Amino acid sequence: MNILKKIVVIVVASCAITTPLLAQNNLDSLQHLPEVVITEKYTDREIRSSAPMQVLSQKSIRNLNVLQLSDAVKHFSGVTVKDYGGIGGLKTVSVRSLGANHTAVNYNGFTINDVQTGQIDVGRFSLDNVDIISLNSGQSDNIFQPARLFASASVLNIQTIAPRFDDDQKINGRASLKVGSFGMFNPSVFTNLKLNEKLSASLSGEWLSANGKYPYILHYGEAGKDSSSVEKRENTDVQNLRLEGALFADFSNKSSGNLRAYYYQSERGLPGATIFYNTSDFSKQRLWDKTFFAQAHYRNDISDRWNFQANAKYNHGYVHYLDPTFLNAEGKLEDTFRQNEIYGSGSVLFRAFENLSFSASTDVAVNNMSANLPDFVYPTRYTLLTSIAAKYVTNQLLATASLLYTQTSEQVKWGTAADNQRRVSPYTSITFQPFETIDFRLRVFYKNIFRLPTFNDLYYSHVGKRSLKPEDTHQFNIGFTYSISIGEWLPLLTITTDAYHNKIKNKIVAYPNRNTFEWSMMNLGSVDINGVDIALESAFELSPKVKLLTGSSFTFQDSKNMTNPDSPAYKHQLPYAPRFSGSGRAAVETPWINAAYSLLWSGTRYTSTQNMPDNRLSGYADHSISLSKSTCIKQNKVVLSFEALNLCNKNYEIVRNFPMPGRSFRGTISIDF
Amino acid sequence: MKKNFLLILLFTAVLFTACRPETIIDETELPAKEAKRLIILSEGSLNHNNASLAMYDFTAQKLDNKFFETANNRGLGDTANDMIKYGSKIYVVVNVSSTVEIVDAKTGKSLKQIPMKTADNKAKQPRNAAAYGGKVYVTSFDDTVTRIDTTSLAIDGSVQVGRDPEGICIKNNKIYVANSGGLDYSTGNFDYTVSVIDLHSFKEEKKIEVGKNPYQVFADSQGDIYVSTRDIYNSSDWTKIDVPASFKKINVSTGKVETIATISPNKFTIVNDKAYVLVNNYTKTIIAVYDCLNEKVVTNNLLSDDTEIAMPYSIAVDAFNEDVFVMDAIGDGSYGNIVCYDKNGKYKYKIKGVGLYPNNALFLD
Repeated sequence: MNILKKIVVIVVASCAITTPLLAQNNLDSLQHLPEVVITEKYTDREIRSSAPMQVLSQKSIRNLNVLQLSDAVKHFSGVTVKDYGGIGGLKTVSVRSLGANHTAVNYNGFTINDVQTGQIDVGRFSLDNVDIISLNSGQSDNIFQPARLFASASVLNIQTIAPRFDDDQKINGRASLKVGSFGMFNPSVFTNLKLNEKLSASLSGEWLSANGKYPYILHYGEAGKDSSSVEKRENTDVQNLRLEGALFADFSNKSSGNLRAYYYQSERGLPGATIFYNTSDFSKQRLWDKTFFAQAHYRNDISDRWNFQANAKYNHGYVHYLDPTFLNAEGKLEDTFRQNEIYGSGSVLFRAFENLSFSASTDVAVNNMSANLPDFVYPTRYTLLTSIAAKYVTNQLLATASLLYTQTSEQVKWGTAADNQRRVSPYTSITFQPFETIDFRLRVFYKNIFRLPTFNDLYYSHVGKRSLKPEDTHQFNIGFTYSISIGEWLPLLTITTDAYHNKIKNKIVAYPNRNTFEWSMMNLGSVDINGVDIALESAFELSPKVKLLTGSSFTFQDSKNMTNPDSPAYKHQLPYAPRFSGSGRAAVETPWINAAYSLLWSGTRYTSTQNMPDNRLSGYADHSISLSKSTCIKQNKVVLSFEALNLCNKNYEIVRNFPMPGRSFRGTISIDF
Repeated sequence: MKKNFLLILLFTAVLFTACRPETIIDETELPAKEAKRLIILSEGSLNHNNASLAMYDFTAQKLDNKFFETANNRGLGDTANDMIKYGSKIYVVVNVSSTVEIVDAKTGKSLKQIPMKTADNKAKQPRNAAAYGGKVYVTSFDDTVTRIDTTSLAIDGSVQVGRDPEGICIKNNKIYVANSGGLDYSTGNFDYTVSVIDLHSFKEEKKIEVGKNPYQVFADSQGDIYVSTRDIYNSSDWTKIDVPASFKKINVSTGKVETIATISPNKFTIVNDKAYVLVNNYTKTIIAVYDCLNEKVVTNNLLSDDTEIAMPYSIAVDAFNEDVFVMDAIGDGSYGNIVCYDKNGKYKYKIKGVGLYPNNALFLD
């Protein structure tokens, strides 16, 4: 076997454990532009958007039977969540086969950045205080945003609940307790405080623990013909703590701002792959991580024509990894990694004409990293991002265009630093409604963007390579959206369909260098992706008191490896990208009880580059149901809910040899005050 | 003249028969027969449980790349690193699954799976094996050599050696083990010794310094021990190599370690007293041949044509006809191939899709 290969896997798996951040970002609703008609009806945004945007509101999230953000994201079309199973397992989001490094995670207006791995573990985000999650392919139509939000192939937006008060209310909030199978215990509370007319605050805290010891069947060969044994997942415990506080100020009716602090810590076991004949000894690794950040946002609507905003953030991330079974001289492998980020951004929006506006943003970031590895080079990256953008809007037409300029400068304590980068990245999009009375729109976008090599890609021990170029992506999308309201019984039916062609060039892959013991990162891969995403959403009024809400998504992805015509894997489907996948959800709301059903399904996938039977991972369907009942006790809304998850009790695998939990149950009680 | 010639012939025949019962005391010393089947071990990829044994029938020219799995209705496990044939059995060393599978060479059926665990039930992570005198000796990353009795198919002893032992060979009642210290690669704190273990007392007698990160060891018929060491990287710039992989010989008569300067090995094997070295070069497949008896390089590259091999991963040589087999791992996650050359290095044929990262081949009659 190859030690370096093993190290790479360990590092990638364990250190793609990340760093959250935040701020406030309901900018669209503040822009007095004609396309923003309704802000509460989120489906509106989805069908008006010139590039695909999928939205899940707080209410729809509740009907999905999900605990973690990663579970909710699985319901978006075009998305592949790589899920290593269990609460503590790593979960990363790849959109349209571009890879997790191309998905930015935007927490309340601030991009979460992990320079070490470039991947964000979305499993760590709770849904407890989340208001809306949305996913932009390409970028948002909002041009008044920090340059960083123009700088990725897709953006997953997480927006937490902002304080809202009834007339004379001074305090409100919610407390909840979730308990469930495999020792899950999850109390949480958030509260909003109105300090005075201009100042309010929100506080949120959450604890999540579980032993995660779920049973699974280990097959030692082809299912059906092989021997198998019933095992239990080991070393799967998690203990997470999240504390968050924010201050919101309205300085005047023109200027506002907010300040946020966030702390997260987690300790967990890494159960590892289910290794034949040696699973228990392989499941001993531990991971501790801590994240702290503070971020500030200021906005000034100087005039009807000019708006200004500024953002600033400090982030610290810490990861501690231990393998007590490693057979080196010390008898263990113990690594710690620290990351720091200082970030600032300023943006202006200028409404030149009623229909035409321009924006400019500049972001500056300094990122550094330290590690206890011998001869670690202590890299620092300075990044300058500048964007200019234009947007044209009429009732039937919306067009945007932007250019992003990126410049990086790398420094290391000793040795050679990685190459500095300078790039200009274009984007353009348009959506058009041909008939004024029919809610039917055609849309097109093109985006060319790249992702920088991560610090692991560049500097990690033997593997890193300093001369790496950024990994380039091209996205072409064409689609339509259609929305109709048919009488009282069907107040809403929307369909969005998009076809896309993506290309990845200079894909950064680990590859044997001089010989097979010496792997290194290389710009070797090339990928062609063709796909179709379809999403359907409808609301039925079965009776004046009974509503049925349904939603479904369907994805077709043909993602071809175009790297090497001589390889047997040439033109084969990328690993872990299902050709067909989808999701469905239905919720019945009655005055007495609410019921919800959700489904995730995926077709066959391949676990390695070569599409052959040995690498085939069969498809799965995961069905869940829930019942919830709300009542009022002394004017406080109390909700009781019960969920049954993965009803078919199949330990399907999203990642080979990382079985998912079978049937499990969860109960929640929450009280609004 | 003719009489003399016959006399000499007779004399040598007598000499031969006289010597034979004494020199051939172990199955490992039997002369090679024509191979009818080729068994190929593929290491698989970490965490994927897809190590495999393939069987190629030379006469039918047919490949069964699920030889083990079909016979046993289960997989070999995770990351198989080595295999040897001894008697009628094949011993497969599975590193991450931490097992030794004892397989019937004819049928592919597992006769026994030996869990390679320490007394406190920790995985030993076995690496390589060698056999002699009814025992199989296995190096493991827990810094030991474990002895397996081939009659009872059970572990019957263990001896401590240097750090992270890799290659192992047995000659003249001594066991030679390359102590790599490779798991301390990140600190550069490699081991640099070959342990010499007495076969009968099963105790380590001494350590011979051979240079950092020794990897494979094989013996020639004179009793000289050949050792390869791996590249040593510059600790502050991983792209630079301080000490390139080297090819060394422990001279049995002087006890000195000599470097065979012109050859930088990736992998090597010794067959019929010739060392076939897959040279440490990723872009080109080069096989150097070294004559262990005359102690000189026969050729710096045996291969006469540039057959495309994407990633030369390992080498095996058929002792009967000296055909050379290069295992091509391809490297991008595809199943690898095995490419056959004749003894003059001329391309003969290719067996495609043997398994993921093929690393060993055995020739069975």
